[in-house]
This record gives sequence, C-alpha cells and structure tokens, in this order.
Amino acid sequence: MLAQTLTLTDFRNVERAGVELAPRLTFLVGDNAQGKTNALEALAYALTLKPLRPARLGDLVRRGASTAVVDVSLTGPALPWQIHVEVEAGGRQVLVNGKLLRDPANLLGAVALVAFTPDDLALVKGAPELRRRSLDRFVFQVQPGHLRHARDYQRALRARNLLLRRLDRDRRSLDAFGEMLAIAGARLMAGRHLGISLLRPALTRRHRQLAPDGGELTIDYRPALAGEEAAAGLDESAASERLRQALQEALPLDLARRQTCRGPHLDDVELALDGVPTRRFASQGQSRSIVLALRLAEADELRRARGEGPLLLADDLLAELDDGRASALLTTLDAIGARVVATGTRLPPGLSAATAGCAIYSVRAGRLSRAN
Amino acid sequence: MAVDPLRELCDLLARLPGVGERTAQRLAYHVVRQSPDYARALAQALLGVVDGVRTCSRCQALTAVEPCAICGDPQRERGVVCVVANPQDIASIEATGEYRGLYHVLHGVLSPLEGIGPEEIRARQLIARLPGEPPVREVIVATPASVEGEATALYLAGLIRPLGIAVTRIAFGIPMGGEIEYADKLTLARALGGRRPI
Repeated sequence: MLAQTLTLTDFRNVERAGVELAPRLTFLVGDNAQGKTNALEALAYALTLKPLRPARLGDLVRRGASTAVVDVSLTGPALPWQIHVEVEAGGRQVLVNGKLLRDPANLLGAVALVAFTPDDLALVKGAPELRRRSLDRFVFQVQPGHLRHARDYQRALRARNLLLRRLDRDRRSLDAFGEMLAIAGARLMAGRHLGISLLRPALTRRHRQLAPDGGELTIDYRPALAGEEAAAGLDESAASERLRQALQEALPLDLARRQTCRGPHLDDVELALDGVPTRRFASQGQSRSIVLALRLAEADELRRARGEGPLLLADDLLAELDDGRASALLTTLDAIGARVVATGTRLPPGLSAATAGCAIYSVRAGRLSRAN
Repeated sequence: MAVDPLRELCDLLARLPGVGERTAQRLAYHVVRQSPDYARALAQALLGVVDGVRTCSRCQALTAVEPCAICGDPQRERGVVCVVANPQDIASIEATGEYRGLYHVLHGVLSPLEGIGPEEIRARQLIARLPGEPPVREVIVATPASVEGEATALYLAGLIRPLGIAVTRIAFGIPMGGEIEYADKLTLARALGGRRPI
C-alpha cells in the first residue's frame, strides 16, 4: 500500500499540519530544531507504532496539549486505509478504518518501510542489540510472523528470568518456560537467517556502488549459540533442539547468575569490510556508506518481496554528502521505485519547485508550508 | 449526604469488564425504565450467583450443584479430561457438541510476570483426580495459544506424561468456513506451522 497523506495535531512541536506525499520525493526543508524530523517521526509512528528516536509516549505530545493525533491515509490495490493514532502520556489508541487495532502485526505489514536516521550510524560500531533490532525490523516486513516470535521469545525470557530470581527455583516451571524459549527462539533464529540471506547479496552490491574503492562489505549472522552448524542455518526443529540442550547445560550458570545466559537475545549481526569486522575500525565516512548500503539493500529486497517500492524515510538525508553523491543517491532511490520522505537543511541539488513528482515543504517553528 | 441510588448503580456497573462510564449509564437508565419486576429478578439472580455458585469439587467448574452437571452425567466419557484456563471456556467447547469427556478448570495460566505460579492454578487438583475410577487415559490441554498458555500446557505435560497418561494439545488454525484470504496473518502462519498429513 502507498501512504498518501499525513496529518498531525499536537505532535511534538507541531500544533497542526498536513502533508500530501508526492509520488517520488517529499522534501521537508528548514533550519535545525524547527520540526522537520517531527513530521517524519509522526509518519513512522503511525505506520510502525514505534518512535524513530527513543522517547516516552508523553514526549510525543505537544507541551500544553493532552493528546497527540496522527492520521495517515493509504491507497492500495483494493480499498484505501485510514490509520488514526492518538497518543497520551498514559497510552495510545490506534484505529484502522475506524476499528480499534488489537494486534499491531496487522498494521506493520501494510506499508513496506525503510527508515534512515543519523542515529543509525551507531549500528556499525555500537552494541549488538542495535543490529539485532534493525535486522528484526526488516524481517517483520518480509515475514509478519517474525514479530510474534520475537514477542513470544521476549515474554518467555522475562518469565524465565523472573523464575531464576525466585528462591523456590521451581524446576518444572523453569523447564516449561525454557521449552517456550527453545520453540520461539528457534523461530526467531530462522527469521534472522532468512533476513540475512536476503540482504547479503544486495548489501555487497549496493556498497560497491556507493564506495567503489571501499572494500567488499559483507553481512553475517552470528548466533550466540556457538557452533558452526548454528551459524550455517539449521532447520527449525534442529535449532530448537540445540537451544533446549544449551539451556539445559547452562542451567547451573543461569541459576547462579539469575538470568538466562544462552539464546538469540544475545545474537549479533556482523558487518565486515574485506573480512575484517567494521566494529573495530570503521571511520565516520565508512560508517555512513555502510549504513546507507544496508538501508538500500533493505529497500531492494522489500521491493522484490512486495512488488512495489517501499516508503523510505530519511532524516537529514544529505548530511555530509557532496552534491555529486547526493544526486547519485536520489537517482538510485528513483530506480528502486522508493517513495521518499526526507528532511534536510538545504534542498538537494537539482530539486526545484518545478520537479515532477516532488513536493517541497518548508518548516519553521513547528509550521509546515507547501513551497510548490 | 444522601446516596444517589442511580449514581451508585452506574458506578457499580462501570466496574464490570468491558463496560465504560457511558454504557453503565445507559444500562442503569434502562433498568429504571423497565418494570420493577425486572429489576427485582435481576437483583435476585445476582444474589443467587453469589450465594449459590461454588466450584465443583472434581472439575473446579462453577456450579450450583455438587458435583456439577457434567461430572454428574453418567453418559460422559470418564477417561478423557479437557483442561481449560477459565470456567467460561467450557461453554464454548460444549457448544460444539463434539466433546463427550470431562473437564478441568485451572482458573488461570502460569504467569511469572503476574505472580501466578503452580500453586495459584488448580493443577494439583487435576493430578489428584487422574487415577480415579475409571482412570483417566487422555488429558487434552485447551489453554490459550499465548506464551503463558503454551507454557502451562508444557508444565502439565511434564507432570502428567510420567504417569503413563497421554497428553494432547488442541490445534489452532483457520476458523471453519473461513476464507484463507481473510485469515489474519498470524493465524495463517500458525495453521501452516501446525499442518498435518492427509
């Protein structure tokens, strides 16, 4: 489905604004701290129910207001959709076509989405958790069941960790929730294997285009469950059996540390240039190319899986890109068929009010106005 | 200050699950407009529930008689017990007309996150009744398809299998008459995962 319009009310610093999303590129231009990213974030929030940047629900509501509201209309092959999200400090409510949304999984698949923000640079050298989350978000979109497996795993993990902290050490309950971990964990790992195998070729190709002399970029799944066979990808029941075994073996350790020390909640995703993990050496410039290649690879694969270009949200898209690279990037996005919504402090080279398929909004003190 | 009886009724109704302030008000005004006989009958029924309903000593279902109608029915197959999380689940399974065995109500599922452990669900009562006369040969676990429901099923299986009694789990999937194109994705994924040879 394609996102067509975005309306926000009392969201962050924006009192009220409407954005018509153009078929190719919608560009929000303005100085820093005027509210450009907020409009982008409202769109991401309505489609994923997660803020782009870590935030409490109350942070999303404009100061002095009680409720933030975001409306997004989508068109698709069949009927149009209306997504209506209300956020208060105490909770949020989502209506899809006027009906209360009970399972977010039914919303998450609606629009293929790739987000690229300056914070993403931390993916290259930061904690494994960032890379796991990024991979899982991609897998949700090609295999919706992955969301449930990830949630089931987290819930079983929290339950088991609580049991490990209790004094009675009820073995039967520990076994039952350990078994749940083995089942959900194997599915979680299978989804991650799938995601990596989809991204691997596209990532290497995209990086070669972005940085022809930058070395060969590869991505590999590094499951926390040691063993080559785990890394090579087991079928689900074999992976489940391995997890079960690992949990059994580690039980004394788990009881001593009072937490679960084995399993996919400790997985990592390794990015490497010419075989050397990028965590150890990547410069700021290298990190940028790596993350951009990753997001482009996601866009490529989503397009292949869905048959339509994804919605690409890019915060501060052109930061640190010279004009040549910036226009090459926009040409690439056009070729993928991505619908881009981007922010920046200046207009990209070659973009003007007359460019077909593009909309330009200028943003100032929380107000958005159409410039073409 | 005198208590406003209408206000009081609204407040009490609004405590019911799924009933908000506005629905409570609508219900309260509706009761007032009906003949007083209806309100008296309703009050009587509420009292009857409080005074007359307890749990069946065998299956832990809610009942006015001891044992409950199902446990006391000589036509029911006594070698099969279906374990459910909540008393109202029995009505759903009975409505299918497919099941002729007995039930056992846990009154909850294992949930460490909510502080519900084996002592809080009626698992001990289940184990105690299995040897009975005749002995139970199959336990069907029909707890919900959530993490906690599944873990409870696994927990019970761990207790019961060593006794030489078969433990089975109900299948989850596409509703009958349901078109595959309308099934939500997770149900469909689950139904595919639980496929069987034909």
